[in-house]
Amino acid sequence: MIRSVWRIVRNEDVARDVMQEALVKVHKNFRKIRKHPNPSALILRICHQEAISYWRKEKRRVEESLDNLNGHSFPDRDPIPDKSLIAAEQRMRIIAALGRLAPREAEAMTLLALEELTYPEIAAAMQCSQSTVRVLVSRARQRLRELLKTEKPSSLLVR
Amino acid sequence: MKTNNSDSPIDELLRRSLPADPPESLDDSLDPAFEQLRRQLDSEELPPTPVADRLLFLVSGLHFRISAAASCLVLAAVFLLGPSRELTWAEVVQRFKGVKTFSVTLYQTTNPLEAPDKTELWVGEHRSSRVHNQGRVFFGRKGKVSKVFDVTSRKEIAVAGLSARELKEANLANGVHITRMLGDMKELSLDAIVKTFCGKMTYSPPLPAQSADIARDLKVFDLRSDRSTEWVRIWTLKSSGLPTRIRVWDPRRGDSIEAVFDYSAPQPDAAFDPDRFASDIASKSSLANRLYHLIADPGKQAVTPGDLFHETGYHMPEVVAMGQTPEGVVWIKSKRARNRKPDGGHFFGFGRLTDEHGQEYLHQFRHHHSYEDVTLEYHIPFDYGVGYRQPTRFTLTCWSQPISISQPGEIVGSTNITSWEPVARLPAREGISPPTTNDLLATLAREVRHREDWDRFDQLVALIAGKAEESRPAYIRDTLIMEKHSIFERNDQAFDMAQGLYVIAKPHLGTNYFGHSTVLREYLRGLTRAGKTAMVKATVATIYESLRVNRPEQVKYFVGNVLFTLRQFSSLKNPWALIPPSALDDPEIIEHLRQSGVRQTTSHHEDPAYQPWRNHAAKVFSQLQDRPFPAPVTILTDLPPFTQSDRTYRIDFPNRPELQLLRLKVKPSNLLFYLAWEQQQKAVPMADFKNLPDEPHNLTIVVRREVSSMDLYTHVLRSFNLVVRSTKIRRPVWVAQYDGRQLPNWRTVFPLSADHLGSARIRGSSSRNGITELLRLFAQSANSDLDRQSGLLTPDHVVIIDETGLPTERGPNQSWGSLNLSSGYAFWSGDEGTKLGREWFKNTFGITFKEEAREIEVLKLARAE
Repeated sequence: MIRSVWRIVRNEDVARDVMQEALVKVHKNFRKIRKHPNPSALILRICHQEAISYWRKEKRRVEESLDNLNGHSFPDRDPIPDKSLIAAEQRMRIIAALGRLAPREAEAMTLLALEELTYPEIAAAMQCSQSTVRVLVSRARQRLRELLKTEKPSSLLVR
Repeated sequence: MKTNNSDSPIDELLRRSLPADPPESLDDSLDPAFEQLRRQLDSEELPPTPVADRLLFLVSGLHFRISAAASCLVLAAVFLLGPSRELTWAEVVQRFKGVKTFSVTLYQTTNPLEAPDKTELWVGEHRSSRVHNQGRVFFGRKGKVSKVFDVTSRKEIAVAGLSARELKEANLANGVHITRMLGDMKELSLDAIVKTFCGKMTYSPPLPAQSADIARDLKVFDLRSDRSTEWVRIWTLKSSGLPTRIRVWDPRRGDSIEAVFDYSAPQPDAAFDPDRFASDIASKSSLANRLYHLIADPGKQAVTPGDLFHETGYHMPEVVAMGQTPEGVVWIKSKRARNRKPDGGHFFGFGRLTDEHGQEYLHQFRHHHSYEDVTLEYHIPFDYGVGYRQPTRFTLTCWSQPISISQPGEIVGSTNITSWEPVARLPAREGISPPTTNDLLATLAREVRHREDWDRFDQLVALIAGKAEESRPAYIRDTLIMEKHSIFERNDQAFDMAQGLYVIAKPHLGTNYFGHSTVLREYLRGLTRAGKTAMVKATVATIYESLRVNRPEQVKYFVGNVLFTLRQFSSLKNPWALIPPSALDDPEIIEHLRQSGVRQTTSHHEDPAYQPWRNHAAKVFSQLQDRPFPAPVTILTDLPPFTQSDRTYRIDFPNRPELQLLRLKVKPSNLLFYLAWEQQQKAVPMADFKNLPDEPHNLTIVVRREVSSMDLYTHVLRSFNLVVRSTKIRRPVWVAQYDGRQLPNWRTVFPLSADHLGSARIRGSSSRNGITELLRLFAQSANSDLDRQSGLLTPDHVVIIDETGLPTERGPNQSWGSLNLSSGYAFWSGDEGTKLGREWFKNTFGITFKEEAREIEVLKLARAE
């Protein structure tokens, strides 16, 4: 849960806050989650929902502390400082772009790309059909390509 | 690893750009929360769903790498990272219970258009408390007021036994009430605090105010009354569950109470110690230093000027430019020029200039540029125009330039300057022309007049050109000359000049009283001497009305100064009658007069406090109407004495202007003292009452108007069958001797400073601080157990013989002020105080005290033969 939230918000205080909200929801819907065919997927969905919802409600950029860059490298190599800054900016652009997606598109996209759930798992979590999930993912990818290709970082702020 | 058979570059970009390893600190922050959850689960009823079940579900159901212990933290976060979004009032009360120390600032408003009354409250361990309100500090313990101090006077105020009305009138009610409130609560709970705020409102647990959910991290609770329009609102932080603010509001009237809570680090124990506070504030020099003494800022920020000074201390300014005019005036521009004092005051630039010839300069502060922290100052040579010697080296001394006699200056440091701009005009500042030669001469003349160096004064005023009605320096010159005439009691000449200067001052007095107060004073004196009291009254009334409109802040000083001037004239029976009645009804003016030592605002003749004496005197007059009184002094023994009060005065006989009635309550020792005083203490009064009675007497006396005090006292003693005899005795004395050094300018000499010994036995300043006065006062302090009524010495008391050779009488061109050695005096009793006093005399003036046995003249009481 922490990791899934962290991926999106990239800020410790915000992560704590979002996790708190997610856990409250988990707690409130505990009985329903217990009965769900894929409780973990549902919980992850809740986490993603809250993280992205945080973006929308607060309408502010997620600012990544430079401190957070330390030790957080790309899988293959440690970036040199200036490249870390570029990476941070890219992350911010991507998070902002995710925020611009329709909520269900963003949910489907993050569950697929970040949590690497299968389509059936995602469908169960989102309580829809697999074909619906595929359509949502397709639209999300298309939109992300457009947003990340053409727009400058500042204009990707969530409005 | 699961796959979705997705080779989409967007997916890869997301995975690559948003890695999933959170910082360790995020995990670490959950550890204390976990511990708190353990404690909470041990002590509290579990929420409806068993924790164990939730833990089981979470451990089995989720795919993420968290330790088994941390799995509890997932749920612990529900309660402990912050309370649940549905924070309840019960939780808030519970959280507050765990708080041992806190502080609150209360703002009470009864009129929404006026500023609120502010109260600060600190609560320490064991319910010790400290309350600040209206300049008073209230110390308490478990609701009992232990001590109260007034910060302005530094004195303790007794509150025990005062009624509610008396507390309110003395502005003590709030502080006492809040201190006692802490004891009235059985426990220091939030419910109890809110109940106190509710007043008469019926208390019930506040409910969440959904409509007031104004911020994500705040939870708001409201308490409303069904019987009134009042309501209470409590703001709490969701993260800690603690209240930050409580507001009680009555929309009908607009009055409110606002309480702001602070949960910073606790105050040190010393902050709640009234004895420590009492002993320390005696030496604290500013109100801020006193009020917040011992209060600590948790962030180590300075809270008082003294704290700030402790961190920064003084520093030396840096000379930017320096020059000297052809006449010898030195100007200095310095940066980093502002120094802050421990009492919050400040001084600028250097303040003192000397040269290798020992010539003296008058410092004049001109300007400080706050933003750039640059000061411009002038130093005017006292020998300006009269034998000034050009130096080759100046010494600039930075010192704290005090203006109060209780604060001697402190030297920060000195620097020598050997090069400057010669023949340099005084710099202008921000478009304002520099002072002219006449301006500088007038400034110097004013200082010389204050020093009463009349020879030099005469030289300087002769150099100031121009007419008073055309030039400000000339106006100042003439004002100073007028003052000299007054000091030397050349009253006619003083009044002549005052009348001319008053014509110039008159249009300005209603808008700038301070700029012309000296002229007005002499003018009123002259009118009073001439018996023109109607003109005095009209002049005072006109200026008073004008000042009330134009300069209301100057009114109380104007009235006080006028009253002071007129009261010096014994011919004026009722000087208060010349002051506009509305002035004497003004509370601010009354308070100013009281603080200035003017306790009376009506003459004896009209003061109701003296009515019993007037009634008694009227009965006596009716009985003595036709009795002759040929003797200078007649003690009435056939009439009952006046015992109703001590408020009496010499009262004229009706229709017999040569006679007066007075009441004398004295002991023979008092009369001896008065006689010695009248003889200007050429002889020392001593007493030996082994064989002589020293009982008090209550006498009613008829005295002829021309009888002197000495004759009166001598006659009264004679009536006791006592006489005063002069005799010589040999006894130990201190002989004061002077080493002949050049004495410093008395205006730069400050009294002894020894506040670590407590309050000075004698402290003050007067117009006469010459050698006679200083030695008398020093002896008085050394004889701390001396009966101040009689002033009589025993063989063990200190007697000081003045053999300094310093002048005690004024010469032809000298005033009493010319004889001054110091700007004030302060002496402490006890061995340490006496020792420090001797050191002060030695170090400041070169006066030492040699102890030896001498034959001295004393006055003694003896039985009449």
